[in-house]
Amino acid sequence: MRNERNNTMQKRLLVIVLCVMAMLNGFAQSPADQINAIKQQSDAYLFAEYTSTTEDYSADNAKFLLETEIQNWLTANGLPYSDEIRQAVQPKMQKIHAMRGELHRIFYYVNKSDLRNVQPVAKAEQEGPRIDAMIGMPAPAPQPAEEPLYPFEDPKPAPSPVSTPTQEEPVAEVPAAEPEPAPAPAPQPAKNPSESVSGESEEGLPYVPSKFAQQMMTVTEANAVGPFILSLKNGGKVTAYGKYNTMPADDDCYLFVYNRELKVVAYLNKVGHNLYNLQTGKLDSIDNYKGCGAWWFQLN
Amino acid sequence: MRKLFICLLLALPMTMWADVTVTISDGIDNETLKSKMEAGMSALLTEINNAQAEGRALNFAPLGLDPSVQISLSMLWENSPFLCTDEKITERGLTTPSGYQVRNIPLLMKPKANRNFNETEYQEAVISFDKKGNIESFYLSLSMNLYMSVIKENKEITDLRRRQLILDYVERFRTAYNTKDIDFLEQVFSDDALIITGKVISQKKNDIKLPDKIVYTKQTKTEYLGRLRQVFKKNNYIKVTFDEIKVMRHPSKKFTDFYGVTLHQGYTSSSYHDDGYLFLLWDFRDEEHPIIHVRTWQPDAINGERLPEDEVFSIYDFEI
Repeated sequence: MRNERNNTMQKRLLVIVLCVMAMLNGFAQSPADQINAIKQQSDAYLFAEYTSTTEDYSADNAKFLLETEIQNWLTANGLPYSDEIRQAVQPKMQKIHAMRGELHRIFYYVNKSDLRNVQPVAKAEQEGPRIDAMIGMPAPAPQPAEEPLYPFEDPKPAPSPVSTPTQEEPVAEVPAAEPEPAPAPAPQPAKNPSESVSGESEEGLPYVPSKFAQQMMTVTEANAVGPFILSLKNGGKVTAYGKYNTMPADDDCYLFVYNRELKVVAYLNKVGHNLYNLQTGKLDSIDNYKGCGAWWFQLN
Repeated sequence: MRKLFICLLLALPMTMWADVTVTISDGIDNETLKSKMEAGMSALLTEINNAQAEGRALNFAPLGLDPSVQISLSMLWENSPFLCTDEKITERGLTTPSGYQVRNIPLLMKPKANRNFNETEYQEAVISFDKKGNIESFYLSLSMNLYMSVIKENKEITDLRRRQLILDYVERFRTAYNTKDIDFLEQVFSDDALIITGKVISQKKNDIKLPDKIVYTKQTKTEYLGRLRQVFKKNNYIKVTFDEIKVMRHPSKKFTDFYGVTLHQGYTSSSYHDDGYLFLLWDFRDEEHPIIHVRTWQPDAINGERLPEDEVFSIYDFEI
């Protein structure tokens, strides 16, 4: 009798616990729910968001877009806007990070009441020049424009079999290679980048890519190439970068090569006029990547 | 036991097969209209997700969409099926000259295996409504990277607003080709628009190949749209992509309402492909009805080399 009563009590307890769990699960607010809740209050908040494959890239752009919104709003309300005010607003901007599948969605928002009362940051307290971590845009002071960096470049599809004689052939992004150079002796250390080129293995020893090469190899999608290069640039490690057709002929650099499916298919190190495959350590050729696109960059 | 089962069921994530729900946060004062628009978008996006999950074509029967919208959605689907990434979407309603618009609908493109898809997997869609709240178009906005590159160049507030407007119209311009919307193109080109098309001519002399050259042809709006109608009739699908964009305001203070927009365009149809530079001279004196006065197209390469930048048409090449 007592056992039956105990069993009934246990079952009731279990039911109660499970019901509470279900309720909590239903009431838990996900980041996406938080974002939607703020968006419902557009009279109280300004906000902006950006979705991309990396968190930093999304955050930089979302922040910039919110700053643009703030500028628009202050101007429309007859309130002053300046670089000092922009800096004063920074601590008041709040961030929510949500995921869309494997994509990073960053949402920045600020309370309008905070903007009405913001005081410009005194010049002595100002942070250093704003580094535009995004696409290579010209700095406010007149400077030569940098080539915009897009995370990917649309590879051109193969030419259609039907075309009129006067239409041009689509240009392969990787042009025909020069005659293959004579086989190089053991690769020389690169002038640039600072990491030495890991070359052919000594007999009997397996080739091991350098730490930097391994870092490059974590980038497998074409649209992650841009953020990777930009993050190095932000850290002051990249001196120059660009699309394949702007690659300097004589200087050393690294390359990401990607195919039409926007997958990175090769990681190369250009040393002089030679190209080394960072995955195998062996001499490679641009001829092996017809129909692909590429980005190059140079390290400090 | 039954109670235990019910509780377990409740404890499961509530999101296994949820519909897509769209909420318009503000911008539409008429509650009836707002509800109609929300219901229309929710039903459409739910059907999109169901069709993607089931690997089938879109079923328009229960949606009550205008035939033109059905056609343009089918063509987008033909290019690449897609799905909506979010179950709950909250966005502003914007007022447009012809009705309303809701932007930033998050999509993931899922191209078919046999079709090259040259754009980033994540795209955002724009849904436009007429004044009665009926969906009148569904199109993909320009990639955010392109949008950012243009917006970041703005010099002042008016310039920023104009740039946003330019991007909106460039989007609609691209969509007009993808959905064969000849009416929009009819409306957006001025009647006396100058349309120039370049083509590469291969030359030979005594069996020796000479360097290719570009020959430019001038057309009127009527001639150009007439030819375009034939192209639209002939091809099952047309896909236009832009992967570079430069916006330049006219340097003269007299013509600050004029913007030159240079785009690197990829054009693919059922039977043809090319890449080239498209230049458009936009007139924003009437911001609600901007028009194009000049449209030029030239190939992006000649003799195996990229066309030098100084040979690409720009706002400096035309007198207003």
